[in-house]
Amino acid sequence: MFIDARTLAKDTQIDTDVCIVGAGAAGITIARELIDKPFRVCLLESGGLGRHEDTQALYRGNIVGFPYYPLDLIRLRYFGGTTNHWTGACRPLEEIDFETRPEIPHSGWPFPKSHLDPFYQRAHHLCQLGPYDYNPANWETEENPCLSMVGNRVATAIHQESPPTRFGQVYREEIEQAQNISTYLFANVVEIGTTAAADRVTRLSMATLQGNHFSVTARFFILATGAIENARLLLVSNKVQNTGLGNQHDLVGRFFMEHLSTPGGLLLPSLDLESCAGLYTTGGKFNGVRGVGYLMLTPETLRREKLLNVRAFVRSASPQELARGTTGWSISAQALIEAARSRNLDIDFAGHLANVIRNTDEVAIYVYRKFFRRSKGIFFSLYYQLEHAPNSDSRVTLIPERDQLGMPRVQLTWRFGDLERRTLQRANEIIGQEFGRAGFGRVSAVHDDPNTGWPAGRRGSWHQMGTTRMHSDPQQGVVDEHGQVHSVANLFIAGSSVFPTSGYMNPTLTIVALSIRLADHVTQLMR
Amino acid sequence: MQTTRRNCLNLMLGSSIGALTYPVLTWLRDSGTSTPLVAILANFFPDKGSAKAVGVEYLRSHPVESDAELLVDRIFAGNAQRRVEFIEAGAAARRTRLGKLIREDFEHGRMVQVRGWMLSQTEARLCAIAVLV
Repeated sequence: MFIDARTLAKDTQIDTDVCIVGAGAAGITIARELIDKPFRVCLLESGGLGRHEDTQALYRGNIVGFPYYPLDLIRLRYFGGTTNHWTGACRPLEEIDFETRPEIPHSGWPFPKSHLDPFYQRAHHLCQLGPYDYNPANWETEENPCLSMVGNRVATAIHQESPPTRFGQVYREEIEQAQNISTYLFANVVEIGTTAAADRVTRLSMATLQGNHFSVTARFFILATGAIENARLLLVSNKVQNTGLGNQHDLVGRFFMEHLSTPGGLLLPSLDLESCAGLYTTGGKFNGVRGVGYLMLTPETLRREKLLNVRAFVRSASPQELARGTTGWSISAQALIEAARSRNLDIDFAGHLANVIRNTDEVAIYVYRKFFRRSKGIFFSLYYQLEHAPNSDSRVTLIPERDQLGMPRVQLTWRFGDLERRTLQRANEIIGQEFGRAGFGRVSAVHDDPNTGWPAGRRGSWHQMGTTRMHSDPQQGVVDEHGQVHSVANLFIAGSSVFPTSGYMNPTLTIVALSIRLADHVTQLMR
Repeated sequence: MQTTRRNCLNLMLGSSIGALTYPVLTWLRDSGTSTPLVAILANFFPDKGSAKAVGVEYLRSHPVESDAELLVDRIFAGNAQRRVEFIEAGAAARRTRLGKLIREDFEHGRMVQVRGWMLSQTEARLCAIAVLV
């Protein structure tokens, strides 16, 4: 059932068995897995069933360091959470993302990817995806094949596209009708109360914007409010542990990660990529599920070059740009000219170059199994999405300014280092090298804005991760391999805040997989 | 003299006397004349204007290579056999060979940046020859 917390009597105490804070992808997934289990579940959601600006304003905060989006823009604070505006791209993290890599400090998960595979498979159903199979061959057709790269440095990969599943809409009825689940809307956690030793959560202090106050007690508590808010809730709960709950080793809020998305080189094709790059520009369908192709560096290349993980989209940059309805990827002719200028490139010179390479690369067409037609001189662009190296100075902290509930707001400091810059430059060089080797065309170098040292147009991807990272050693992580806060026996954390590394891939599928895993674990504990 | 040598070369190319071709061509090369090869490479691109536009930019950042003979030598890595085979080949085969050299450049990381574009050393040098001749 759904209950409006604004109607609760003052000082109501809600007692339950498992309390989930946050009804986004993680919270709804866990609640759904606990339907019909022989114990009570309480799901707490700050917002209502739709967007309310006063609730949304609770997400405001400061940003320092790398420019970032307003914190109340990138997150949605109502039932369904940020799935109410996610774009649906799904793929598991790569195997290498789980490895401890010597060249990447603080890398490594407590388990390999293979451990998560069964949970990824179950997550596919919730995200309304196809089979758990990411072989690009399933999506390529004769008209839209995979680019046949020579050698093994660059490969084509696929992500599947969820419709996208709006968790709050798709699973609302199930949650509402579940006999053992009570969902409280407009219910905000303002403090996590603990024992004197701060080793167990005793209650959640709750409030509504209308001024009601009530509390929740439970056997187990799960924070599922997203990377920024999970950290915030721990940091504000500092009556016993003055650095914040679970923060004995000053890790809560640190290692904030976000995928840097950035323009890379322009691609001048020497063959008719426009007519045969559809797998990359618009995607293909397999079993009714859309998959979009992109380029990735192989794990061997990443290890040899000591790079972060990265992927490159191939985007048509012609006036006939194929609009995908997502922000930032459709580009008008004017924007193309601006894009070229921002890369310090001369369109006229590129035209001469096109005439040159068409003559020399034509001989390579025989290695490419598609027919060749004269290219119209159309540019494509490479657009990169990079892994963010774990960086303890990239973090969420509290500031004195308070929100309407009286809670300190957050400040986000987003920092990058040389490894991200080197990864972008080197990935672009390698792809340029492999495109030339395969006779596909020529790639321009990444052009950095001299004022920032980064390409103009670089930005975040609206993915927040890492602020309560997972590690079996309490001195290196906030939560253990099960998602339990190390020092607090009955407190768990769900969602991307537990990611020790980010990979390059959108986090939602991994969030859902980890949430299913946590739900199974809590079910075991409840026995 | 040069014309005479070119005529002689053409005669050899048109001849099916393969046994004589190599020694004669070797003599031509060793006589300090890569001119036939320079001439062939200078006219390799149908759109010479575009080749020159690229070549000018390459030479701007690589002025020490402003010598057609030097460029030819570097394209063929001083390999006399490759030079002879190239001269003997027909137009299509020459295109194939150069294409192969270009792809090998990319395979081995022999790349240069010309006005921000990552090119093969060979193709940049071919464009430079178009400027110099």
